[in-house]
Amino acid sequence: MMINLLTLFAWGWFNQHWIVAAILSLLIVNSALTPWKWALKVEQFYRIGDFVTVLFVVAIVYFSLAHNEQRPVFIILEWLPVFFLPVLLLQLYSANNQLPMGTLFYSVRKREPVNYLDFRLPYAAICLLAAGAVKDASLTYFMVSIIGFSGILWTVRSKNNALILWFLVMVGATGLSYWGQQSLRHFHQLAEEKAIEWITQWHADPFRSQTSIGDIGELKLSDKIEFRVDATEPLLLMQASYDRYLGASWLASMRIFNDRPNYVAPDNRPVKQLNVFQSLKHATILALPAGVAAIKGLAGATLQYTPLGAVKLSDAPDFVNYQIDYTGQQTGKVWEFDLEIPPQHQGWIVTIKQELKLEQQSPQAIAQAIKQYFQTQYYYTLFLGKESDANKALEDFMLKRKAGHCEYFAVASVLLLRSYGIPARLANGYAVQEYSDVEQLYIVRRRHAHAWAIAHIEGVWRAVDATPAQWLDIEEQQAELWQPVYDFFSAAYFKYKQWRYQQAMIEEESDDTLLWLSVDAVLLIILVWRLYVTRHLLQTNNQFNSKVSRYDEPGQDSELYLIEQALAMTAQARRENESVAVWVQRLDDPTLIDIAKMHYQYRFDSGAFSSDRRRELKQSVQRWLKKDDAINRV
Amino acid sequence: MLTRWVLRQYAQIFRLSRWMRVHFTAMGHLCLAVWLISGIFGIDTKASNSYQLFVFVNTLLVLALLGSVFNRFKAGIKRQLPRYATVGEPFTYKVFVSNRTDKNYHGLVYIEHLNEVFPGYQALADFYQRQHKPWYRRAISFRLWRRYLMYLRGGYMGEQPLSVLAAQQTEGIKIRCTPLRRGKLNFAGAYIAKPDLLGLFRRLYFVPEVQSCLVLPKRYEVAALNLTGNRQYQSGGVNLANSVGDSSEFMSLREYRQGDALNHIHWKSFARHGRLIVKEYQDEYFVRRALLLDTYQGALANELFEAAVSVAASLVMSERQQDALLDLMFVGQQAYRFTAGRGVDHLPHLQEVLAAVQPSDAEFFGRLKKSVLEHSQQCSSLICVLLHWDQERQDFIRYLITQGGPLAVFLIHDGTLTLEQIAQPPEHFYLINVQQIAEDLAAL
Repeated sequence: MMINLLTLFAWGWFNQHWIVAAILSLLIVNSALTPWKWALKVEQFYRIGDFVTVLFVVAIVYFSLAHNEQRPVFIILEWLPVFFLPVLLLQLYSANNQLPMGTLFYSVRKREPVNYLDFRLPYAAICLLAAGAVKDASLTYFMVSIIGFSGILWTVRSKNNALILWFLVMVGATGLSYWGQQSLRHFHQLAEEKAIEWITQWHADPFRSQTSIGDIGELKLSDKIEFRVDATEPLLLMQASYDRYLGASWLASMRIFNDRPNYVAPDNRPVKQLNVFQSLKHATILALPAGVAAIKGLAGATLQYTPLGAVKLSDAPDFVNYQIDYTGQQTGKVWEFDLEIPPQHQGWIVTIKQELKLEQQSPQAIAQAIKQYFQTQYYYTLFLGKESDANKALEDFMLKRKAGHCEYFAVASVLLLRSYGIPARLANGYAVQEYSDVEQLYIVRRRHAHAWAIAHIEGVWRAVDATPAQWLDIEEQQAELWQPVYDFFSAAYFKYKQWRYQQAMIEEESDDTLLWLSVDAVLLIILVWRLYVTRHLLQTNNQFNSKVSRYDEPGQDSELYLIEQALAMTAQARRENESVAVWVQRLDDPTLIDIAKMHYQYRFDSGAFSSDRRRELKQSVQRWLKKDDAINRV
Repeated sequence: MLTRWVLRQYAQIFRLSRWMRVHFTAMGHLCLAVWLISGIFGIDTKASNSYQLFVFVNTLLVLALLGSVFNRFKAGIKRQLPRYATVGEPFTYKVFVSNRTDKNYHGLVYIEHLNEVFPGYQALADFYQRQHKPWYRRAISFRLWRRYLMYLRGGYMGEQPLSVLAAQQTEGIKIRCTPLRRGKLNFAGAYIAKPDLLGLFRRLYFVPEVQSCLVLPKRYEVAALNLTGNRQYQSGGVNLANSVGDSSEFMSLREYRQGDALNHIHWKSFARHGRLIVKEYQDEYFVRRALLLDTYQGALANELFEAAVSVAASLVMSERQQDALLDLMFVGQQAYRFTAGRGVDHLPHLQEVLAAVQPSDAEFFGRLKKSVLEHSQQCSSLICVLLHWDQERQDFIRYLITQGGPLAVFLIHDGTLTLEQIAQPPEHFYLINVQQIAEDLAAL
């Protein structure tokens, strides 16, 4: 029991649940002090085991659905000692102080004979596990967990070897573990960096965009719904823009996120509003319309900005609903790399420029002409081509293939615009165009990810989307067969999340938790009450066993037996194997026959035997005994 | 194809789970659980401290596994098995474990090892096809596979801890075994499990000791059957009732009368008395019953066949040794006829025969019929234990009734038959429900 108290103490200390740990400890200590124990049947153990399982499942569901800053699994881990407490108390307060295996493992319930286990050590291990739920940079948990676990192992150490050897092995294991946990943390750091590097090739990176130019095969993006937008018209939402082109990848020259918003309040221009509903996992880059004036509804979350227009959202709940005020016209400075053209692309640019003949025209007309040129002369395809060199692939696209996906069009537009002296950048984001009549919202899928050029014309960054308009239809054809099914479930889940979000906005989180805790408490009270009322199963600890065991059958304490004792060794004594009914008939005493009737009722129908009748039985017997004494005295 | 692959995986999973079960102690299993849970939660070292516990438990488990290399032991065992056991009735036997080292050992565990053959696809398919389950439950699950393996193995014994085994000493322990099927229980040897220093991992030492024990079919109380039959002439008397040829039972010695056969002269008495003395023989008449067991299982569940064997065994047990001869007839690869009673053989021997009876693959009822008809003249009465009630069997029973001998028929069924459904049943016709054999036999 000491190990249980120590590990509970460790749990309370690390998780700051002092009061809960103190209550649990009291319950455990009380089990050793109280003489009262329950004589439970195996089925009752199983029933309580099932109750704990249900409680556990309810908790998992609740924590998964609730809005929490902490991940649900860690909340479960943190509260494991509380979930498993009923099981431990079951053992500690039961008469045989052991737990049938089937209480915890459903699969062994049908096995004969019933196997028992001592749950105290597993419970200590659970407390140690739960103590590790919090992050603590120091090595305190490491030391405490080693001491605690060594305490658990101490109970099963082999007696075949010298004790010193056991200590040496434990010290060696501690040393190795210290080195191991340091290495594991280091390895995790390394793996995480590599993983981020790998993942960012597929997701919007505000600093670097790896294009598919130069990739071969076919481009395929999923139908997964990224977010939903309540807007008045289709539009382009930008996540990031890039100004430097290095072969296959684009870089953002100004990559430091800061807390200074990269947008300014509109100067008397009309403002439109967007409403975005989005599920989040970690920090994410927001997809925003041109000319953002304000981002609302993200109180509590952190927003960070780059000068090139990327906005990072972090510390947000897993579902958000935010509003964006925008003008549709993005202002901003021109930077030094916005006119840079890599020398390896000069060749095809000259060829195309000769064909376009746009010199001396206004930037507005050039942008329109380039857009027109691509839309009429080029085709959209998801086939990535056969050229694996990124530079040659772009040249191949411009001069020979004349077909490609949006990145080709966007990159080529940027370079052509720059060649005419118009500052331009590559923009990445989403095309909002699929309207769901069912949800009354625009749906943005992963395959709606899009790239386009933005050009600085007349002081405003304008979108120059040169990709032929059929690209959305072609993408649409790539939709999976089961997309409607997926959409249906996605919509249902979205509605649910939206509802939960609204609830969370309306209610105080703590009130909800209190409600759930009350439900659990009521269930626990019912369980304890049900156990308590099974009084016939109640028996005291060993010191009382001898007294109580006589009365473990109903009616065994009937006063009729006093009469039987009084008449023993007389001619009227009850004979061996003689039933009470036959005996009283033989004695031919009407009072005794009445007493026997009452006795039978108490003995075999104790449920319906009222306390008044019980008193009557007692008094009748006492009267009869007194009368008997009187007769004897006479 | 897929099923075969799945069965192979079952065998692998079973081997792995058994390896885990016998090699890790209870604390070892707790460590494994902690290792797994802390590993899952500790995968993100930035989210919690669980990874620190994971590393420590991992180190302990690795040290325990490595330490088992230095864990050595030497032992011998000697078993005292009973000759017979009965299906489903636990029996206890004694094992003497000797420590052949010069050191006292604590915490050793004795694990009995029965011979086992992993069930093949065909055997399993046959076994479960007979269960007549609905189509969605016909797939052979791992649980069913394991249950069948247990059935083939024949018995269940738990692990038996040896508290202290002193150096060069022998300790006797009692093992409780529950036989799960009829036939031979083959003991291959035993494992002695010795825990490591930390008490997490056990090293197993196999001690071969091949022995066997015969498990008899389950037997029930049978109410006395009143089959009134005449005594029949038994050529050759009791001693030769089970043999062939012409013989009579020896009765007494008497003086030679003219016409007596010369080979009846008792030469020893002639030498002693100086006059011819001959041995007198008397033809023997006594009650001889035949018990016919239908072993054609067909598509019936195994349970029914086992019930038929149990009923036959119960009927054999109900015979009193000195009263009559009992012929047990059934068909396997050939038609068998074993005789016991009245000093010819012990009736328990028939139980041994029944312990080994296997279902006949094809329809061999014709052969059995022939064998019965050949011996029907010698039998006072006939008891048939049948599994089917088809036209052939009905005709056979009808023929036997016309022969006039007393006849009792026991038909084993799965609870779907009633007496009303049986057309023209013989006088002694009993339906035995496989779910309540004991009740049905007691209520004859």
